[in-house]
Amino acid sequence: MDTFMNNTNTDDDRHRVVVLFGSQTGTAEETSLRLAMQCRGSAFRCHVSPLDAYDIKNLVNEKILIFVCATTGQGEPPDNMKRFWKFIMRKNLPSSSLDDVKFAVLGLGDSSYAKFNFIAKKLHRRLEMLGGRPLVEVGLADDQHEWGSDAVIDKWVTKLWGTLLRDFPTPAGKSSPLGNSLPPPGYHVATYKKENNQEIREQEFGTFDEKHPFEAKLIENRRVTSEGHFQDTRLISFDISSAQSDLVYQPGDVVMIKPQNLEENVKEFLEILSLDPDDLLTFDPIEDDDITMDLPRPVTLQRLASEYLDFMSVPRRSFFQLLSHLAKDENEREKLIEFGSPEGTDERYSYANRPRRTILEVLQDFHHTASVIPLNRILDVFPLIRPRAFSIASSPTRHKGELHILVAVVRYKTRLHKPRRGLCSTWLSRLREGETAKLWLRSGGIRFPWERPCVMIGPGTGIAPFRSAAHERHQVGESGDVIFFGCRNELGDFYFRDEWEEMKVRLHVAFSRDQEEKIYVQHKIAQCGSELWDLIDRRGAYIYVAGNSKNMPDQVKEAFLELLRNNGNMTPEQATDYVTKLQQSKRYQQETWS
Amino acid sequence: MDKFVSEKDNVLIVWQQKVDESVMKTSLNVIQTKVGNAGTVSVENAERLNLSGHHQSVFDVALFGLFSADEKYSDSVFTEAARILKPNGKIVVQPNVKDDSQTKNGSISQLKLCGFVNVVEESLKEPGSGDVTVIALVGNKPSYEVGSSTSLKISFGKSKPVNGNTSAKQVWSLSALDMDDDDVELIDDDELLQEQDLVKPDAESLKAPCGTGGPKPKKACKNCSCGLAEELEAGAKPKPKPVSSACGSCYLGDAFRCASCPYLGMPAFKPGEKVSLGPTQLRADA
Repeated sequence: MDTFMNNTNTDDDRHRVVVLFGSQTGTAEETSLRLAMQCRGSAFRCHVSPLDAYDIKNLVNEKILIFVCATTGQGEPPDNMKRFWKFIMRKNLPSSSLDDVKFAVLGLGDSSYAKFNFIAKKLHRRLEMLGGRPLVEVGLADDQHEWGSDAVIDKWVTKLWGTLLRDFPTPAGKSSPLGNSLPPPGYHVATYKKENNQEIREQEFGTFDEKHPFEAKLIENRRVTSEGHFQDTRLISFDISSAQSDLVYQPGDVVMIKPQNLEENVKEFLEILSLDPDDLLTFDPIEDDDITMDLPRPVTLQRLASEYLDFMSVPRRSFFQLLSHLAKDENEREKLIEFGSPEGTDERYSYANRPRRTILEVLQDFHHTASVIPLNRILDVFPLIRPRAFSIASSPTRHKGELHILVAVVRYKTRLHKPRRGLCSTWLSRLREGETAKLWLRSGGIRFPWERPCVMIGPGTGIAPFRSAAHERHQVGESGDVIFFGCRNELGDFYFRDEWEEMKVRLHVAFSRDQEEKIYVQHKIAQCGSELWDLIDRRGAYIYVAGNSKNMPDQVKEAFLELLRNNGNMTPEQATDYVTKLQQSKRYQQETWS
Repeated sequence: MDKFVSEKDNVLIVWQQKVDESVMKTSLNVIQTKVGNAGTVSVENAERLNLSGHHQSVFDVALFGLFSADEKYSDSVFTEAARILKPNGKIVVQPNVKDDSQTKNGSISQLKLCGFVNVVEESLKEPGSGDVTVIALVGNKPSYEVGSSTSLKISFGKSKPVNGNTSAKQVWSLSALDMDDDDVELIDDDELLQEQDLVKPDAESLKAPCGTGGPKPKKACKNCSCGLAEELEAGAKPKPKPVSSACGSCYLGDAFRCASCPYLGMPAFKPGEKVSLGPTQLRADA
């Protein structure tokens, strides 16, 4: 009856595929966008969205659902799928809700953590329970694989399309998502030569988030490790006084910061691509799978390169694949095809991943191809810069109008001549007084109680949230807290050594390298057995662990288990049970990062 | 306002502005005593009323402004009250004493518009209120259910059977209307996991396929002239060579260099650039 409609809109006969992701570091998002790119020009019409941005009430009416989700180090769902998680686990959802839905789940995890890919595994089981029919088995990508998560992702994606194509064969005139041809571009691009009127800067107002960040002026950028110490760690203070009513934080909260590329790298990048930094561009998505862009309209290439394109990351297989289609130089094309093919994975790993080679460095090797990348492919070829999360180190009362973060500057060597640098930490370390950073808050990290003592364990930069808590709690008259800090040397990286006395906390410090044998926070915890047992059991103390070490949280937990056995006279089972209860009642909280 | 409440009543009390806890307690006690053990008293904040999910037709009386008369309620709150009151149930609203009659009339029409009938003003004589005549608006829910309908007996043949999945979808959509309801019971997601879900991949499966984990075979560059290509062809193990660059690939980036190229790790060279090697790079096959 509506045949004339179908004739006017060729998209009506495409099968809707909804890709929903829960992303922690950006891999899930990138993988989802790649799926969308494969759909371009095919019989499938792709809609991509972060899980929490999708209108959940429509889920039961979808036909094909693809979930791509990470699992955090603690086995929790990523932040942008927490609301979804709380919904899908509701007991009252009928078991036939998803009877009409076919689904597939791809998990992104790391098998060096105990709860490897737990979110994907749980989600897959839950969707089946609600009546959904799986298209393929759950995919369990693993960062620990020699070839990284791509080893599983590539195979899983191929299998998924294979299954879907059996049900929905590609009609004439459409391309296959598995075809090895260049997909149509995702954006219309218009260019202007720069005139007197600058690009339009977006207005800031209301609450601040990724699309509307607050531009905070830097007050101070102070090195807190001694001059001779190998690690450069900075305490960076931002002025947020002009937005105080909107940027309200508590100890334990996290600030998101959007880093930028270093000036010299931007210059080199634009030179290699033969682009004029002052040219103005506008991007308009062709299919409506545009989700991440908060690009100003128009935007200069200079700004696009410094604030949006992540060309200092290690390239993925799809990057080489796309470039191989664009290459004109025969030599380069041949090599790009090799790196872009599944068979060339080993070569690509040796070339790019193992030495942590950046996209910019790859472009230097493939400069003929780099110079011919068309503008409408730029957003397909280059990933976007992701915001980074930092535990807030300041107290909203003691440091009124300010927000502090503690940043260890990442720098290391691989077999490449130039040292590798962390994008965000390096950029932050170079930020000077009066310059600005784009930031917004993300709450819901760890929470501190009233009228109960806290035991806080934060080695290295893990001390950041506890400096915030200790200052704040001292300001409001809380007392009796105990802090365990760990670092290498008393004179090298003992952060905030002059501040602890003012806050009247009992501080125990483990200096790992100031003596023959290595002493860590867990050893200090063991030494304070009876004091801690009394605090936990009799005074209902809360325990907090923060830091960036992979093993530390487990070793600290082990120290507490031992303490419960020795000082609390518990059996190993009783001790484990006790800690589980503490965790359930939020009296044992962790905030870890890598 | 307790005069509107009788024994065994199920009473709903809606409040808006926070008042002193002791004031709330005293007023509540009065009502509680009046309804006795057979009745119930539910206290709800106006903003939360719509989210509380009361079943329809459960309350006998709904009291508004018991703690503080200084309040104004939205239509949606009254509509919800109409839904959860029993047919013929009573609504009592104590309007702002300082209000002039116009707003009072406004309130009367507001109640009417929200589905109440017989809305009138009644004077309250409260102890301690002195000479001030306190007025309350009193109304009733109609004796039929809000939104109820009577089916007309006209048959056009058999109606379609209701699909089980359709009703499941409706439950789902209703549940999704309130995403932030923290009171909904959740399943313990840990119990979803089965034995095999706890197994982690073994070390062997994490190795690259066909990669033995040992040193990778060396590869010669495309225009190899240093002899590596011939050596590989002959099946011999490549030996370290003294530094020489006759293949013409050295100036290109690592992507195109021999596996034994001394320039590995350095950027591609630009035309005319003078290249010098450090001591570590001169050590063959470092």
